Amino acid sequence: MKTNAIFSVKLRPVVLALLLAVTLSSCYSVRIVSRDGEPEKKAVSSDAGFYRDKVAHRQDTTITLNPIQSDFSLVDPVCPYGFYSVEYRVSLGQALLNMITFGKVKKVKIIYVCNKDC
Amino acid sequence: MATTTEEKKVSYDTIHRNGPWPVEVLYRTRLASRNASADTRSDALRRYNDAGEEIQRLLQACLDDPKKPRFRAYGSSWSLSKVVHSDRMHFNAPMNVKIPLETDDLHSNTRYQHENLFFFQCGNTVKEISRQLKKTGKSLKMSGASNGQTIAGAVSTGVHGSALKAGSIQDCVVGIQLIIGPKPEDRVYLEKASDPALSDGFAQQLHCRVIRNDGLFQAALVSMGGFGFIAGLVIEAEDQFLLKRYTKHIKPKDALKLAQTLDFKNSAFTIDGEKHPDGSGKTPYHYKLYINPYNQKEDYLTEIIYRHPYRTNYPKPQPLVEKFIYTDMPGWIAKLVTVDFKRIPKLMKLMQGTLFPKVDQVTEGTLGEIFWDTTIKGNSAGFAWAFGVDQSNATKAIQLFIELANQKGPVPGAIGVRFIPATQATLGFTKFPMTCIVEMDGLQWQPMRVPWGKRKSGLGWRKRQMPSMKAFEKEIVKGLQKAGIPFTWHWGKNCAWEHPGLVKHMFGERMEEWMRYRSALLRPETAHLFSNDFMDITGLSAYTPPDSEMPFS
Ligand SMILES: Cc1cc2nc3c(=O)[nH]c(=O)nc-3n(C[C@H](O)[C@H](O)[C@H](O)COP(=O)(O)OP(=O)(O)OC[C@H]3O[C@@H](n4cnc5c(N)ncnc54)[C@H](O)[C@@H]3O)c2cc1C
Repeated sequence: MKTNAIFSVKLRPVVLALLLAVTLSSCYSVRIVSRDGEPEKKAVSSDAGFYRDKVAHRQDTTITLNPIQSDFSLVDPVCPYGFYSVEYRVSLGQALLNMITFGKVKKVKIIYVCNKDC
Repeated sequence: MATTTEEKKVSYDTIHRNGPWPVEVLYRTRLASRNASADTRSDALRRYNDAGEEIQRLLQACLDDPKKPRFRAYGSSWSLSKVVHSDRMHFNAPMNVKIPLETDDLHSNTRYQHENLFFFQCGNTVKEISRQLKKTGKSLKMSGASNGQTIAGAVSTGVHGSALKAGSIQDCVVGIQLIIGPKPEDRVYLEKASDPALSDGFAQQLHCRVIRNDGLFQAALVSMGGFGFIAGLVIEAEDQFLLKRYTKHIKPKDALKLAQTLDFKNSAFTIDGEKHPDGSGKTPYHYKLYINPYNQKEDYLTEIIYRHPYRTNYPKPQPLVEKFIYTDMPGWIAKLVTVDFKRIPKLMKLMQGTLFPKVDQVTEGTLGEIFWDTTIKGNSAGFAWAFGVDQSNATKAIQLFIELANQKGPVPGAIGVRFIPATQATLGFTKFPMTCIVEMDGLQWQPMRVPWGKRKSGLGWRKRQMPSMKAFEKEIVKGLQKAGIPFTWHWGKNCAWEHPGLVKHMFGERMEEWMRYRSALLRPETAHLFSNDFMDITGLSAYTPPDSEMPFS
């Protein structure tokens, strides 16, 4: 009984931290894919799944808006022929950050694939 | 100007992780930029010819190297065999010029219609080609089950679907532009003497000498990269059409009878809406079977597709949402299979929904829409076997394969069966009047000794071992040989390629014919340049001094 109590007291912060880390980093993602597009392919396949054969570009940045700014566009410099796919990932932590900063700090995590020059 | 980047000491892998294999130099060539002020055709010709010069520069560099490295072009890396691997490899997917042909470009004796001929550079994918053809209301005659291969890659191994009348992809080709070395005369435009397509004048615009020779053309079609660098191909297309696809359960008895006869008119299996007025079944455009080899009580699944005239008002067949399994899942399954391979049949039953198409679906679309994108699922390595037999041996071969899978396995894969009419390519594996391709796609496995197994009377515990992939491939080859069933094998798929005399067994005299044409076209040093380990192992790389009967040499 005693040892159990010690365990729970000692372990509680660790368990909580672990839970928090898992929950905050757990994310969901949405990917939109062009039906008729042709993705830019890698010369040598690597990675797993969807991006195995495609050249994937990653945007991992934080955008801070000032009080009079409401939204933003990310301007893509690398896909002159448009996008084949765009995947937006957001974790609970990022959503919380957005909420507690009243929408002024946004962590952005995007993976996108360009269309091949056809 | 086209520019090439070189990466040294690279580890190359296929899309299904059949490698990795070491590569001394990996080249990637980017085309010259477009000139917006030039007209489309002259700009396409300029960029195409410029890329050809760049390839010749790379070939010269290989020949100048005292180590005499070998060179091989590749496309989308969809081949699972080592057919693609070499010392120096050239990634040509970005080389996708489309040269518009004019009426004047056609040969004066051609039987082709100008509006059906198209010139594509090697790196155009099947999807790009379908999209390009659609712009003028045209379509490829057939394709594989998906659309990601480059045209040169697909033709070089002999990609097929299950189109009962349309043949394989190389059978849509009517002209080939090859680069067979660094010299000016090494730019060659090749077509059949009996069936010319384009004029000498057009070939001159590609800076090519023209060879019109039926035998050489047929040998160069399915060449696995061994006849030099395919710079471009002339394709015959046809008017756009619609395909109506049904997925249905079919009784094994009916399925096998159809496999043996392809007599849809007198079959018990019919599809409502695809019948003649007398109620008998129509012959479909495509007939494919899916079989779970470990459940013989279960009905098979068929994908049966009928051809209809094109119209615009049809719902697009591609799904709006595609769902994927967890990336790690195939990896776990592969591990589970390794530990306890006897669970494979149960796993297959569980996974049936992801292995086979959904049953009782009806969709309609163009060829490019029906045979659409494939996305690689998960992180584990895959294998694919595909052997071809004469249709008259279809039932025997399917049953033999199912028996092998049950007796020597189980192995983690599902069976597919497709049908393709004879190809004109000398080494096309769809060589029978009607070839039945029996195939299995699945997860690669590593055999592991399991200490539990059948008890052998008096001898204690016998160790029951899962065969290695290689061992199982050998079992299939030996099984077919023992049963006296003549067969071929898909060049781009896994096989016991090192099995002694395999290619000779499969192709007989055609093997020597192919090698003679290759030797007549190439010089000893370029024959070496365009060989690789795969060709050495299969006995295809040997150079035989040219034949005086072959005037083009
Ligand atoms: C998801 C998937 C689905 C498949 N479906 C089918 C199917 O339905 N039917 C079927 O028959 N096969 C199928 N295959 C096998 C595959 O289509 C073939 O192996 C095809 O050859 C791959 O084309 P690629 O562009 O990837 O060529 P690669 O695999 O890159 O190369 C294939 C061969 O072509 C040669 N080559 C490529 N470009 C050139 C060039 N410019 N000049 C000279 N040689 C060249 C290479 O040297 C090599 O020998 C499938 C494979 C996968 C991974």
